[in-house]
Amino acid sequence: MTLSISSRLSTPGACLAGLALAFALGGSLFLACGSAPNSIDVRGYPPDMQARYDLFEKRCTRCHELERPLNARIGAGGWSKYVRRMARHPAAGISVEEQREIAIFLEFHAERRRDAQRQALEGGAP
Amino acid sequence: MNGALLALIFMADVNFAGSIFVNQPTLVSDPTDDARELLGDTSYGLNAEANFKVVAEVQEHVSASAKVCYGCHGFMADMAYVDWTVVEPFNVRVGRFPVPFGEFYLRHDPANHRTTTKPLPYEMGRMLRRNQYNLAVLPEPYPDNGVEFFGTVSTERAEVSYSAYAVAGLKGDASIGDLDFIRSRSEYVADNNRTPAVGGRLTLAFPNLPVPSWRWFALGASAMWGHYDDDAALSYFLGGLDLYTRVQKVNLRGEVMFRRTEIPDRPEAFRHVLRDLFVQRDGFYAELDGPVLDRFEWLVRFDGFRRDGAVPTVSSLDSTDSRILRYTGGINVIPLTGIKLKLSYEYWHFTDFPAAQVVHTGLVGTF
Repeated sequence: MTLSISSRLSTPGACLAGLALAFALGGSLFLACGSAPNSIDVRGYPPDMQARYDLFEKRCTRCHELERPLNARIGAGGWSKYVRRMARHPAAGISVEEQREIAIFLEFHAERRRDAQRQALEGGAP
Repeated sequence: MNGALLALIFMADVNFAGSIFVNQPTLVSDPTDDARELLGDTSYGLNAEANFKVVAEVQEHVSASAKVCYGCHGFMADMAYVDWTVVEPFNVRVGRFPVPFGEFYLRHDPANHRTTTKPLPYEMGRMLRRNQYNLAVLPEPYPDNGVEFFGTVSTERAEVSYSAYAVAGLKGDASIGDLDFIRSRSEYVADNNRTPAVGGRLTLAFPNLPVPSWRWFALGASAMWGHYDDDAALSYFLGGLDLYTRVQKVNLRGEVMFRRTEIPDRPEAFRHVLRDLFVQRDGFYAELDGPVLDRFEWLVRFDGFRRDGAVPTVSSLDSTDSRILRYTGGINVIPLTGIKLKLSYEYWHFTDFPAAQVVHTGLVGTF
C-alpha cells in the first residue's frame, strides 16, 4: 500500500504527528475546561423548569446542539423573540405554546447564569 | 435588495451568530498515487469555511436574515431574505434562502452537524473524485433566489409541515448535459433561462410518542423540478425521502434521493451509445450519532452514490453504471464552550477506481 499525505505533510510520521497534535490540543483544552458545554444539570431547577428543559432539549436538538442557545448572550426579555425566529424555520415544528415554554426556560436559565457570574465576581473581589 | 435588508436590520432588534470550521483531510491510502486527482483542489490541503449570520426582528410578524459564507469558492450570500408570518401556520419567505430539500439542508452549517464531511449525496468539496462524477445529487448548501410558502399544522399527536417554493433554479451546461455547480454559484446570481424551478417538501412528525425515551419520529418527502440550460430545453427532477428519529440522546437520520437530468441528443458529446436521454443519480445515507460522557460525541455513517447513464467525453469515468460506498466513523471532543474538535475516518469503495481512506481533522468554533 502506498502511503501519501495530502497538503504539505509528506511522511506517515508527519500524518501521525498531525493527529497526535489534534488529540493533544483536544486533550489540553479538555483538561483546561470548566462546566460541561453541551448540556446542563437541571436537577436543582424547579419541576416546571425541568419539564420546560425537557421540551427545549427535545425540540431544539433536531437542528442544532444545545450549546448554542445555552451559551448565547441574549439580553433579559429577549428570548421570546429569539425562539420565535427559530420556530419560523420550516419544519422546526415548535408551536406557539411551546415557543412560550422554551423562552420561559431560557430566560430562567440565563438569569441563573447571570446570578452565578455576579456571585463569582463578588466572591473573587478583594 | 441587500441594501433594503441592511436598512431593515439596522432599524430592528438584531442578533448575530456564526461559525468557523477548519478541516485537514489526510489521505492515508492512495493506490493511484495521485492525491490531487483523488482529492481535487479544494480538499488537497487545509480548507476553511466561515459563516456570519445577522437576524433582525423588524416587527411582530416580520424578520429579516442575512448570512455570508466564506469557503473554498470565496464569499457568497447564503441568505438574504425576509420572513412574514401571515398567520402562524402560513409564512412567506422572499429573497435568497436555503432551498428546502431533504433533512440535511437545515443542518448544513458545520456547527450543526456532527460529521466533518457532509452525507455523500450532498457533498461538495470533500467528495473524492468529484471531478470524475461532477459531484453527487445535490451539493449543499444550495441557496437560491425566489419565494417560499411554509408552515406547520399541529395536532395533539402529530404535526405536518409543508414548504412550497419557486426559485431561479440550478444552472447547467447543455453541451455536456449536466448541472454546473460552479456556474450555479459564481456567475450572475440570476435565472439563466427565465424559467423558475419549483418544488416542495412535506414532513410528518410525531414529537409526542407513547414511549418516554423515544423522543422524535419524523418522515419527510421532497421534490424539485426545473430547467438547467440557457434555452430551458433540458430539465432536472429531484426526489427524496427522509427519516429522523431520536431515542434518548441518540439520533438516527437517513435519506434516499435521486436526480434525473435530461441530456441532449448529441451522440458526439458522450462516450457511450445513448440508451436514454437522461442520467440518473441516486444517493443515500444512514447516520447514527450521540453523546458520550459530557464532552464527547460518537458517530457512524454509511452512505453511497450511483451514477447511471452515458458519460460525457470530458469525463474519465469508464462505466455507465458507477457506484461509491463510504463507511465513516468519528469521535468529537468538546473541550470548551463554542469549540469542537471533529475526528473521523472514511473508507471509500469505488466500482471504477481503487478504494481510498481518508482521516479528517476538523475544528469548529461557534459564536
